[in-house]
Amino acid sequence: MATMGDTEPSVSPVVINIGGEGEIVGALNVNLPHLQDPDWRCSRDGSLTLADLQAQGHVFMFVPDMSQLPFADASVDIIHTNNVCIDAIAYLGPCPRSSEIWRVRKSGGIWYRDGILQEPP
Amino acid sequence: MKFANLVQSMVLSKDTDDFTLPGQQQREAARRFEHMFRGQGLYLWGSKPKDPHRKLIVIGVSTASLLDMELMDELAASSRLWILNGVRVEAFNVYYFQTLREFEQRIPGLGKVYQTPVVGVCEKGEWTTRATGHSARKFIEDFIRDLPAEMPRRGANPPLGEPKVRA
Repeated sequence: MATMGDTEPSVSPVVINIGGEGEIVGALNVNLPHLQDPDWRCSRDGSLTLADLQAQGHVFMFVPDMSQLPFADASVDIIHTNNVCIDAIAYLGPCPRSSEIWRVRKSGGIWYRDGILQEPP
Repeated sequence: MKFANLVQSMVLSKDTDDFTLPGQQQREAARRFEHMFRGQGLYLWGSKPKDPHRKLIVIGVSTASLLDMELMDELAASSRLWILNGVRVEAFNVYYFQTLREFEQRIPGLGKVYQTPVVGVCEKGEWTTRATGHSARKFIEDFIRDLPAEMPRRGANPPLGEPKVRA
């Protein structure tokens, strides 16, 4: 039982970046497995590999299909999508679905669509 | 209207917000893209050239990408110079693409495409340059930067070299 003077344990918000390449510090980047291809490079500078981004502290989760997010209902506080097609099928496969973003988002959670943009260096 | 205006940043936070709006907006942007070429100096891919040109640059962009749309605006802003230099620029939207083969049809030999934009350069029927993602963006930016500020006038004196010494 909490008493006066006790501090509530701080809980970090769950932040995901769908299609992310590490442009948002602290977000879990949810992306396709092709980022692991030897010739894939980060679009921000054209030279960073996945290993480079991971060495910088960026965390990645790979999903076979972007239209299905591997998160429980109402479990994510903040969702980012930058330069990502929504509710469509693209050449890299099915794109993230707005219904999935709605499903995983906590009540009151936020979806930033192109809110923080990838700036080329 | 600028190409960049096709992409709208959105923050959806209320439970009553319509989360289908971003997808709707992207579909609308893709529809409007094809109507934005008039007067820009740019052509849609596949349109028949009426004017002679010595170099063709084909660029593929996504109307879901603000960065790609900003690049289109940069291209359009410099169109007078590259048209004067005999360059024709054709663009296509990858938003509707569902296979990599569709890129190959427009830029033969392009290879894997992880990111947009994509670029191909065709001179005298030969594809001399192909690039995707960051390298394609850099190619276009360099191309715009390196355009001569003005075309040399016909009959104008050549640039000055070493001073000639009279005998």
